[in-house]
Amino acid sequence: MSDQLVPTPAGLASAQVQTPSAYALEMESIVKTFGGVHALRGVSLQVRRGEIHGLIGQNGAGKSTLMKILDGYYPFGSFVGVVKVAGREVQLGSPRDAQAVGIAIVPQETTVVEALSVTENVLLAELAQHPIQLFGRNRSSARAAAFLAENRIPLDPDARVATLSMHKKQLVMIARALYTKPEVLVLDEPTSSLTSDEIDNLFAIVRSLRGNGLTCLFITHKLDEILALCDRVTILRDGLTAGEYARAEFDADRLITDMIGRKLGELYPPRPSLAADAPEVLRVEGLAVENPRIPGTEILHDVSFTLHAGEILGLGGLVGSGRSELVTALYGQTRILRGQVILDGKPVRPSGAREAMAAGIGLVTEDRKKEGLLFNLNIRENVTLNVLDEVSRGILLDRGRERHLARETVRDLSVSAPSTATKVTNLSGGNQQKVVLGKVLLPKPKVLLLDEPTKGVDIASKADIYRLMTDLARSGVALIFISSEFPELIALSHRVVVLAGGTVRETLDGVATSEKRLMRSVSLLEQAVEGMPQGISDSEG
Amino acid sequence: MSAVGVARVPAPESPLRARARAFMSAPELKRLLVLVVIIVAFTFMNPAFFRSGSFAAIVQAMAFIGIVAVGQTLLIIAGEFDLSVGSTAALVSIVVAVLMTQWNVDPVVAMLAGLAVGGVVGLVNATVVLRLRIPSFIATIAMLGIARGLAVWLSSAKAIRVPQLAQFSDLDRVVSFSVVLMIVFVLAGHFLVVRTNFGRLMCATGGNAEAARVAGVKTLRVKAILFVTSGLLAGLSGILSNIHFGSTTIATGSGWELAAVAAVVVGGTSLWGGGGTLIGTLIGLTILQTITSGLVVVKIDPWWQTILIGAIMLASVSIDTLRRRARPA
Repeated sequence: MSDQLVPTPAGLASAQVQTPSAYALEMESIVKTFGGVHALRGVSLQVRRGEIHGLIGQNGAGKSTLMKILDGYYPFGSFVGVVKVAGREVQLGSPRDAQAVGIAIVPQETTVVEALSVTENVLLAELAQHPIQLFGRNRSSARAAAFLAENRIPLDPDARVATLSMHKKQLVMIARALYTKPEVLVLDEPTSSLTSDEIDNLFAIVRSLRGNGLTCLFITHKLDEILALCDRVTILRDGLTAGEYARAEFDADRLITDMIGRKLGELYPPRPSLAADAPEVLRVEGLAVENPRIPGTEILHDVSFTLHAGEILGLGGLVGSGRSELVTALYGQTRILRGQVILDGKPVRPSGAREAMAAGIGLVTEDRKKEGLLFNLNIRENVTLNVLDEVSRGILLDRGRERHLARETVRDLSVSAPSTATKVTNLSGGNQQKVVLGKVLLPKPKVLLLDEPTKGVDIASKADIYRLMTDLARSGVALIFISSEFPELIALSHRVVVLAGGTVRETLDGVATSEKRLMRSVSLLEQAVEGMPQGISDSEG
Repeated sequence: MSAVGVARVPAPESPLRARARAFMSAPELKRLLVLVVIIVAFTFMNPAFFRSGSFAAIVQAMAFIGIVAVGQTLLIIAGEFDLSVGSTAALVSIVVAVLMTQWNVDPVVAMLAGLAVGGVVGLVNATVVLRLRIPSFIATIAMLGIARGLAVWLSSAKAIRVPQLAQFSDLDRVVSFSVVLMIVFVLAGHFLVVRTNFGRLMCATGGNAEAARVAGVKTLRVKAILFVTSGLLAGLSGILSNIHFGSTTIATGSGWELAAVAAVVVGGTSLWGGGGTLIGTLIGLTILQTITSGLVVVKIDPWWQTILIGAIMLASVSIDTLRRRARPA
């Protein structure tokens, strides 16, 4: 832990190469561009020895790009800037290099070998180095047990990893990373799939490891966790370091201000006006939705809201708050446990995608690679997939009509492609997303569900998608819009329903609310939201 | 760069030119060229190859497998395999023969019953793969053993002559049923994939089942239909072999599954599913059969056949895989 409050200038540290550095990890003026787009525009990060250092920023601020540089995924030479570990400059060409110099990253997704025991998982790197050595089960198990006890990690070395909970699996990953005696342990969004008890438990372990002298870089976008755990924090915004503070210097307000810090540009079209007497299209009452990852449990309960023709209803919340599950439930892909969905005054309970489409509901899924597009097919074939009945006579496809519809879609959505026979694999992310939108719009839905429609999309295509959304709203389509990017969520939504703690936390007025207000609502614990300052108008539909 | 919102679609090229370009770049055309090169090469090595009328023999030799390969191609497009086709053909051929010789069943009825058996085998495959979620590779290998075992049991491992089919056999000598039906099924299959609603659903299912499901495609139903189709076609092939040879043994159809998969792969259908071509499969099969027959004509040791066919399969799959890797989805 450092008693120094003022950040040391970067030059000073590099001058002290001989003496053991006060810093476990330094990244200086990192610039990384992707084909003209600056992902990082000069980020500096300095992690002192023995501290828990938080790294926070909104989606797109540059956290993951920075981590991929630290991981060697983007090798030395593909970016500008200097990376130092324990005061020495390193040139990382691959993830293996990163491990060799003492950077141990525990990724967000679980990467454990389910079929092996805890011992085998923890010692995996060692086993891989000596593949022909006999594996002494008892000896290894004893060694792992001693190691786990020393680090106070509550795991049974003989347990089979497949039988462990998500939390325990994560501890296996942490133990495995620690076993390499790293200079710095990087935890990337470690709490995203943990319960609050498990989070407390994890924090206790991380604190106790700090007591043993471990340096930890803790990446998150939850303010609570930074406030609860970190000795120091670095805030990223738009590819720059927006601030660095010791624990005594920051509070939630400081973090939020630095995370937002920018004005909304000309990117957003004006929010379409919504008539006070716009008819109600969709009403959701007391909905409980099953958690698709843990069948039998509910990810959401008592969710109620209304949606009007021509309205854009934002759906705010953190990853894992149940936003996607809510819209997929309306689309008949996730199980509804209780409650009612009323569409145009009639109760509906779509049992599948086909039924949902027939009822007038369209869904743009979050993961267009996994669920949105058929990459082996061309634009035309992708676009018409939802309306095959319309473009065929009997069982035969009417290729003329199909081509005509596809051309219209390509024109309406300004997809740039040589022809409708272009395979979607060869399109940019933005154009792929427009193809997905075109496909979903062809059955002419009354209610359009958009799950992170601008994720991984270039800025020009984003503007096109915003314009399309407002045009649709003006024509009377009702939209539900999920986004982790608060600026766009606020700029486009008439109201924002915030999901947190498994239900609707509150409904914010899109015009009156601020990014700050929204960020508090989605990322702070319930008590903290009470007594919020400044003009909050909670409107009920 | 134009402002946001301005359409950026270039003018479509003339339909004739587009069609000509599509034709020239069709994967089938490249494979046809390969086939021509192979034929020229064999003719060069031994002119007898071209004269001997071996083409008719080649086409007849591949007809049974060709029919089976149609079902195989469709299944692979939809993302599944059927390795039980050879055994299914054997089982159906034996069932038909036993029904006629031991139970005196009318030949037409017996053949219909045989087809039904093929359909049931397909249905069982579909159930095991789709309901029990056992990978089709494993499930249909199991069926390969079971169906062949049943055939052995039913026939007591003896060859059975089927004079009851003589009238069909006579006709078959004039115009080969199997060759005609192979061509009919390849064309029908091609039409199915390229021009029909169902064909598109198949490609969607094999290409990205998750995306297809979100788009409302009943992917399990699509696959089930294709498993049954594969069983039916395998059974039909077994029956046609009875007619052609006037007898059957438990060796009927042995190795057809591998030959069919080889034809599909060499024909340019991706093993990963999502798209493919029946015309390509036909050309692929012709390439493989031409090599098999050609090696005999030019008097190269027969064990080279299998080595060469294995090498060609590997090369075809490698090309497909490398192309995928170069252009990640």
